[in-house]
Amino acid sequence: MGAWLLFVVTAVIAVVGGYMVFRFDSMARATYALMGSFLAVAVLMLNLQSEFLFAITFLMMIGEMMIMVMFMIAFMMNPAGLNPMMMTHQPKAAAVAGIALFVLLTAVILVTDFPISDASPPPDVTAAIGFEMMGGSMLVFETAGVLLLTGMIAVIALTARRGRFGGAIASRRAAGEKGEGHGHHHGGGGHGGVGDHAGHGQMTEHSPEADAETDDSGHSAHSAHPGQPGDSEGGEANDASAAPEPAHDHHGHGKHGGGA
Amino acid sequence: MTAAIATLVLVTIGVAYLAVVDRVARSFVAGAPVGLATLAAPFRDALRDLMKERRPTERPDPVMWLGAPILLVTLVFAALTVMPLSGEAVGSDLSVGVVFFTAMFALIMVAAWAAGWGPNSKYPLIAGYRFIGLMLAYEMPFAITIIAVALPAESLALGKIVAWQQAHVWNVILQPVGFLIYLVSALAVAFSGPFALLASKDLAGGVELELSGGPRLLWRFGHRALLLSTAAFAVPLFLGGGAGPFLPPEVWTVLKVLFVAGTLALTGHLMPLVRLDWFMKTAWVVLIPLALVNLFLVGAVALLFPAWFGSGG
Repeated sequence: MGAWLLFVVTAVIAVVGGYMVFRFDSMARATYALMGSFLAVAVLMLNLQSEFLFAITFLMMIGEMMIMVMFMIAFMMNPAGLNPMMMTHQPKAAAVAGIALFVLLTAVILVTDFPISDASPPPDVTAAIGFEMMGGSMLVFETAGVLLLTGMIAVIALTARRGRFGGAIASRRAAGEKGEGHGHHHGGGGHGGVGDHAGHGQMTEHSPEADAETDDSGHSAHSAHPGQPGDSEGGEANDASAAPEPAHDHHGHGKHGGGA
Repeated sequence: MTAAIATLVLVTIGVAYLAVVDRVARSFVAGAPVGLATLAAPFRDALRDLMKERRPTERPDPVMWLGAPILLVTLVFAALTVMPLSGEAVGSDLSVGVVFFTAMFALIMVAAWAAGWGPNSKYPLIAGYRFIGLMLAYEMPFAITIIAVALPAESLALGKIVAWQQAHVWNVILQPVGFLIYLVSALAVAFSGPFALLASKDLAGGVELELSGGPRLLWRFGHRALLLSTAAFAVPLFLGGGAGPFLPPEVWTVLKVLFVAGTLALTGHLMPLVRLDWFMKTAWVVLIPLALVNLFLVGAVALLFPAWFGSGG
């Protein structure tokens, strides 16, 4: 009875949590709903009398979802749900695909003749898992572990501010990009991102003289950050529409107008 | 049911004890007189929090904001279900007790970030984010030292770890370095003392900045209960559980817990707040390798003297 109740409660939480991921506007809530769903699945492991798998799944899911919440909020355009936003796309196609998959899986569950084992679990499930991982399947797990570690180190090396070739600019040069011109090109884009110039399209076609002026007027600090998030987004999205705002910025960077 | 009520009463006493220790230490360090008023101050503060009107912020996320203190208190009590007072007095001696309470302590991240996100306010948000960034650095040495404790007992169950220590030697003697690393990371995981980076003065109070009224009281209760519980697990892991002369084991366990928790609470008044980047680096470069060396040494001893090891004898 207790096991049945546990199953029903956790199964409902898992399914409803998964559904709510797509109903919430807020990225934070959506990720927490997903976490709730996964944690409910972890608790389901208790029903399978696998306490170790329960605890370790619980632990891992929390870690993964906390990293997920960072990325969701960093990359989604409406992180806090303060603006109306749809989490679903192509609702009709998605509904058809979902229902078809559900019917298929249900059919598989109902049609398959699942074997029922009457063997009782070993007295210490955790030890059995340990012997399986470190005994018969040791080579597989160790190989996977080393591969994952390699991938992690590679990603850290590639994404660190100090990459393989030193700082950001030096890395770009070493990677074969033309350092000088490139930096200035982005510098222009960077200014556009701050408040966007009306003449942004022309800004990218700096003459060399204009470039020199840019440096003189003390904007080299800006061009030292070619990877600012505001760069391309601001530059491409609001070209002429943001005309009233830039007037403010324009005064500050008067020399740009001259250059263009 | 009686176990649940007993846990609630014991935790409440422990939290009150920590609050009083904190207050007395603060007065003592400041050179202020310590009297009855000092002892009563934490309870007066608690009542004042309860009486105060709740202060809203602009467009908060109320579910996450109010859910955070509730989750914090819940995770502490969930973790404490595997905490043995003696061989018999334990909520549930799970076969994977140490992994279970480590998993419950991972929920601290969830509660901390929700508390930072909820109020839609700058300083709590920064505090929540930076705590997540640090939590891995905290949790790795925490988990590795716990593995080193489970190794000689050949079990993840707290009951067997205690039984092994009582039959052989306390882990604090076998692996003193592990004990120290555990204490440091226990303080850090409970964001207390010199590691109070989630609710610290440098961010105008961090996640506590916008909390008021009942939720604030609940959060502060959960915070102290968290320090109490991370300190409490040092007793079955390193200090031989209820072992001790004359008194029954339950009393010994409680006394040891109060001693460890009180000592940890004092550190906040004796040491400055650690610098974020400094501790992040130290944790990765010093604490984690040290914890791995400790694990290696304990494993080597277990391999060299196999007859001496094994659960319970």
